[in-house]
Amino acid sequence: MTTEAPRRAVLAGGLGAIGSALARSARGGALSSPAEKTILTVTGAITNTNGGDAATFDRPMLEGLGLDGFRTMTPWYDRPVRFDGVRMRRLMQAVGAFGTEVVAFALNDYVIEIPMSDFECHGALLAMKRDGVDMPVRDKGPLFIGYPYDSKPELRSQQFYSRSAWQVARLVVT
Amino acid sequence: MKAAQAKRSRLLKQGLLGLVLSLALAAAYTSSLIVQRQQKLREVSRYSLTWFASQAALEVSQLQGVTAEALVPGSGTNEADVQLWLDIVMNRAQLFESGQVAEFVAASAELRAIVAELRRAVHDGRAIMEGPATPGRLRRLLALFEELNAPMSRLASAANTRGGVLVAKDQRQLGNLHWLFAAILGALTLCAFSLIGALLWHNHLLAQAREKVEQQNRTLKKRDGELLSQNARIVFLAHHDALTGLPNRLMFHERLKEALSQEGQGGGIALLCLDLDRFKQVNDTLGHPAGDMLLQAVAGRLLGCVRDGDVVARLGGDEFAVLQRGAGPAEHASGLAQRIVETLGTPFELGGDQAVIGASVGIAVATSALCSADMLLRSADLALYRAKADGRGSFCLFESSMDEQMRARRAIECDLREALAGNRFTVFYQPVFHLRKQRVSGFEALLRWRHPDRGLVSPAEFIPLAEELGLIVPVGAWVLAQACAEAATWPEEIRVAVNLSPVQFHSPGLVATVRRALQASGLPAHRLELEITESALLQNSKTVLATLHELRALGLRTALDDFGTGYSSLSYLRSFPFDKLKIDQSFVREVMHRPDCRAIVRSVLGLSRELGMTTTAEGVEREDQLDQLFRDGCTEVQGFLFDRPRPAADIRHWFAPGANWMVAAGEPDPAGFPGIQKAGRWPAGAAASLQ
Repeated sequence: MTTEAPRRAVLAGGLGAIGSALARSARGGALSSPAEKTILTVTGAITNTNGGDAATFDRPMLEGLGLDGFRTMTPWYDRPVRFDGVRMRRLMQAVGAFGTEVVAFALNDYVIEIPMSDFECHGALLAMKRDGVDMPVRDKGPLFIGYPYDSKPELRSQQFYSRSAWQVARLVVT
Repeated sequence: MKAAQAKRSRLLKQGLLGLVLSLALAAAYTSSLIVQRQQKLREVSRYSLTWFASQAALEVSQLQGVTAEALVPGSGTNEADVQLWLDIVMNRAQLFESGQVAEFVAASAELRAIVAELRRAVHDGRAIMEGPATPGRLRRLLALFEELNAPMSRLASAANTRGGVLVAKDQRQLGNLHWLFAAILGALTLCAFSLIGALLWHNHLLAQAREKVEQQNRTLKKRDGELLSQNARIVFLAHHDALTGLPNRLMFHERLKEALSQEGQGGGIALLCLDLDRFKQVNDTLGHPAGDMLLQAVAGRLLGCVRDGDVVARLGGDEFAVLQRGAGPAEHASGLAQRIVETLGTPFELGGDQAVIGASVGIAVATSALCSADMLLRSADLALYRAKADGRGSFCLFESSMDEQMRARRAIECDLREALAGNRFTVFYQPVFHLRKQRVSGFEALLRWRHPDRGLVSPAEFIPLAEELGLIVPVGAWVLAQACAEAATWPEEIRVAVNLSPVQFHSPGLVATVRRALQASGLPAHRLELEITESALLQNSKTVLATLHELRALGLRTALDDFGTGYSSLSYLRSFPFDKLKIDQSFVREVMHRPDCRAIVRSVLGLSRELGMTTTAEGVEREDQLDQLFRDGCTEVQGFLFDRPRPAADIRHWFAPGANWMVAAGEPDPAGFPGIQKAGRWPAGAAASLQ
């Protein structure tokens, strides 16, 4: 990873503005800068940024990527709950991610590696609302990576529960 | 044995079905076990409580660390960081309230107390941070959470223990599942082997059954073949004579028809019908086996006479037929007939005995007028009939005149039957004179047939035919009844004589017929005389003797008719009881011209006298004959000299008082015997000499 990132940076730099413009147009336009408080920072193997190497998002920006959600049972609640937020797949498109994994960093210093394939295959969601209400830090907020556990039995396992990070603040694409 | 096999087969089928069901059940159970195992494996990877509890302890201590840092001025950590961590701990505390973690906590009172403590600390901490920003609030917060360190550790270790227990339980359950799975696999393997074994056994049974079916099939085929050959044999038998192997009448008829349809009216076909002469004698004297051998030998000789393509058949009994094809002119057929007659005339050697027979052959050659099988057969038969009539050992070619004769014969036959039914017969009576008594002693009843077209028909013409057809029996019975009835009306001393034909004599009901005639007419038996010809005596002498005795026992008289013709064995006179001899007219006619005839007549008369029999001379036509007979001692005479046969109504004058032959002689005679009147002188002298 330490050798990989600079090479990509050189590549990106070598291609110059044309390559960057092409990438941006391919990803559906440039990222604006957060107007409110930043709640998510994405770095690493991404092509779209809005401040140095990072792509930063405030709540409206994330909502602007398109809200989606599902209702599911979880190990943490006695009843089914509804999560709404941005599909991780959509977010990765928005930042022009070209890696294979995403490392999620939570406010409570919890770190977990998630394969990018989860986003395609299992419909992982970066949830912002639980039962229609914005999630605060004291309730897994501001962001929670959740899976539709009811859709497949394999999702109801330790592996996916450990990938379900809450209080997420930063993502690094590798 | 078959029942046992069927039972075994049924059991096997049930066993196979059971095995397949067992396999299916085992497979289904295995599948359910796999699902269970998956479930178990999934449970093993359940949400990790240990991790959750240890994270809680970590977050609580992290909060304390951040709070402590915030108390140190210039450390870069402020109250916002404390607030963030307080929120993080609150999040954790809330998570203890629900879901799997809540279940884990609920199981233990101690854990419930610890969680309650955490909840209270979070609640109090939040109150502190949301309250007025007093200088000592961070210290109070720190103190609040420091109290939680020990309980949180306790919680983490409890979760760890709990996790260990769960893992052990999961492993145990997984182990159980494994063993169950192994057992099921073993059972499946066993089932599979049993199934293979059962299938092998089943195949064995099937092979056995197939072998049996094939065997049955072979047997059936064999039977079929036998039936076919039997059928062929039956067909052969239906068309062939079993004794000689020659075609029989049926097949010969078919062949004849075939030949006629193939050769048309070309005249290339001749049909020869032949009868063996004296075959019956061979059968009677040498026995039936010899007769059979003879027939076979005849068949062999006949086959030796014909050419290829000709057909030799045995029509039945001693009748054979030859179908000659490509016969050409009639001479060819005659040549073949000649060869056959000669060949069969050669003596036969029959197992040591020698038999001499002969054959008569009738030939019919197909012509345009004679072209059906039936007509040919009939014509050949007619010719054969003629050949036989001509004398044995000869052949005769059919001529159309034969057919006409046959037709005429048929017509007479028809008429005869009609005559009997329509009462067209009449009885004529011819007087018999007693020479010594010089008067009529009786009448001979003679059958006459008055044909509607042909007038009176000669008895010589129709009697043989009636005999041949068997009509003579009813006709004879009728004559007998008529004569008796008529005679009953005559004076008492007048007898009636009735002729019995040989056929009639041998008919079983003769005695009963005679008795009935006597009873019906009331005629005393002694007035009835039955005339029997020599030919009637030729056959079975015991029966003849018995019949004669029976007739005489009725009280009637018997006369031997036409004596001197035919066989004229003197032994008849000794063997059979007769009251009278009738001397045949052939002797009477010559009695004046031929000394030998006169000698015979005289000896017969003498013989009769010696044997106590009376005599009647027939056919007396002249006075000198009468005179001679009278001198030689003849008892009675009859003939045209006195009267010819007349209807019953025309003889009544004989019964008048004082009537004698002279009265009769005085009557005008249509037959025209002029000398009779001259004879008028004779009786007086004769009578005188007798006196």
